[in-house]
Amino acid sequence: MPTDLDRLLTESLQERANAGSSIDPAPMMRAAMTKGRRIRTRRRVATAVLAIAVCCGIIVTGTLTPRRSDSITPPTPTPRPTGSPLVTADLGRLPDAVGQQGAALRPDLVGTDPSVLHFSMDELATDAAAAASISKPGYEVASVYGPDVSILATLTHTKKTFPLPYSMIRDLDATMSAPVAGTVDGLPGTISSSQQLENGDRLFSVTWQPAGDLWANVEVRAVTVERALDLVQKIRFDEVKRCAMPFKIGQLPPDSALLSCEVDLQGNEDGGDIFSFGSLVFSDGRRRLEISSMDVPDNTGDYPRNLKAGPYKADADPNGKAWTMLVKQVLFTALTQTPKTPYTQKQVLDVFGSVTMAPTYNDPSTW
Amino acid sequence: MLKGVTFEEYALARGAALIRFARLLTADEHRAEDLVQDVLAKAYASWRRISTLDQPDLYVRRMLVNANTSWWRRAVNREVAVAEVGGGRTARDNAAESAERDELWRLVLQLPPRQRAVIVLRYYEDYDDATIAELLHCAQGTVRTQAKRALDKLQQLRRPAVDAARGDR
Repeated sequence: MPTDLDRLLTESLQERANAGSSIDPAPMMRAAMTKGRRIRTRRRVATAVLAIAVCCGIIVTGTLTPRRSDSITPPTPTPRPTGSPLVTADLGRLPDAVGQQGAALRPDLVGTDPSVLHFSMDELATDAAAAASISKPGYEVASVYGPDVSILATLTHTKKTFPLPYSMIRDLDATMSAPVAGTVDGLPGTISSSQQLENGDRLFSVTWQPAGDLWANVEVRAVTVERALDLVQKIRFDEVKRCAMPFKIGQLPPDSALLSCEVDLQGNEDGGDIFSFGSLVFSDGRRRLEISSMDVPDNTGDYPRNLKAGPYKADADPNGKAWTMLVKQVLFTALTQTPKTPYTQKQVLDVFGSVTMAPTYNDPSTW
Repeated sequence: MLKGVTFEEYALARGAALIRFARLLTADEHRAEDLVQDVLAKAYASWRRISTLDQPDLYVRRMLVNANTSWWRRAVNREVAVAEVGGGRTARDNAAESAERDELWRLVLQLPPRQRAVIVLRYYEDYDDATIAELLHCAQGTVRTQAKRALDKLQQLRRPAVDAARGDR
């Protein structure tokens, strides 16, 4: 028999559950689909990397301590098995930011211009399954995942930033050893490592100051620390890459500037479309608007669209917080991230309407 | 229930209910939305498998409870303060029962996350102990123990608070 406390509990909880603002699940669903697609990509790549390791017989059992000096030589590349689940491509092809100087010469510029990255991992991404570049106020991140390399590099001005949300340490829930002093690219730094992971390698976290007051942290999977440092040395701090996507936005929201940029590239089965996901966040200091873009060759997420956005059609969620638009095979989603006084529908549709697709969708060097 | 539905159908049909549920787990309206979005993202990534389950909704709710518990552990380590749903009282209401409900909610917030989840599932979602046990991946006896501990604590904390509230009037 229900007691007074039971009744009060039920009433109290019902009251509280309904006490917040009204709920429209549609924008949340779309944001979740965007995020979920990225999780799926990452998971697929991780699984494929493991599968290849097993196929190629590079699983290492027992201790990883080198027995002889030559045992730390990186494993000889083995021909990839046919039918590999991992589709790779040359993903190191984002266009150069002509006339700009890299982190080596201008460390102070890192994290100040979201449209560029002041370093490059192109050499590591020539045969990769996925690559991402992220530029935000205060830090820049690039990552490459593939059969031969899994590496994530972050540049920032404060060591306290590490590890970031994109961290492999967090993703793998790895326990790291205490950092020990070492030499990274000829400079003093620290290195810590995880226990042996399921495919025999370890996760290394390398931190040093490549220039001025700039801090770099690289998380890299490798069998030996020598191999890890060899991969770290392939990062170029004298190159600047544009955070480019296969389209351009001709009109920003009023009085707004780009706050952050992320572009994810991915090898695809047909060897073609390598654009996977993009995110541009604009802000006028008060409000934020994220325009995300996803490659959807199968046109998933296609809804009836009855709003005009320049030459395109768009649709809106009823609560006025999210809009979508499909142009060719790119699904654009605009999400207002400010509960009060968000950007208006007209402002969002103006941004949508100013989109122009790159002439060659599959060639990042032309974006 | 809901077996075989697409992710879009599920999220549109159950999204609002998930957020209301998360509000009670997190006691923070905005974090509830973040939590549901994160959990739905993970569910989307595995939807092919989840949609074949007999009760995908139960599975997603389990993900929510676990995600909240994990967040809570991290938050405690970081000493993050948690705001209340609706920012405290939502309307001026001096009725005794309303005051008691408010007070009870504050006491529910003091429960450990797992006990709070049991209370929310039992008294808000109206699930029986067997369903709660399935959802929380534990024995029915554990559910009953957690519920009893929570109710005892609420009774214990509530008495002086209610007495004080009545004394104020």
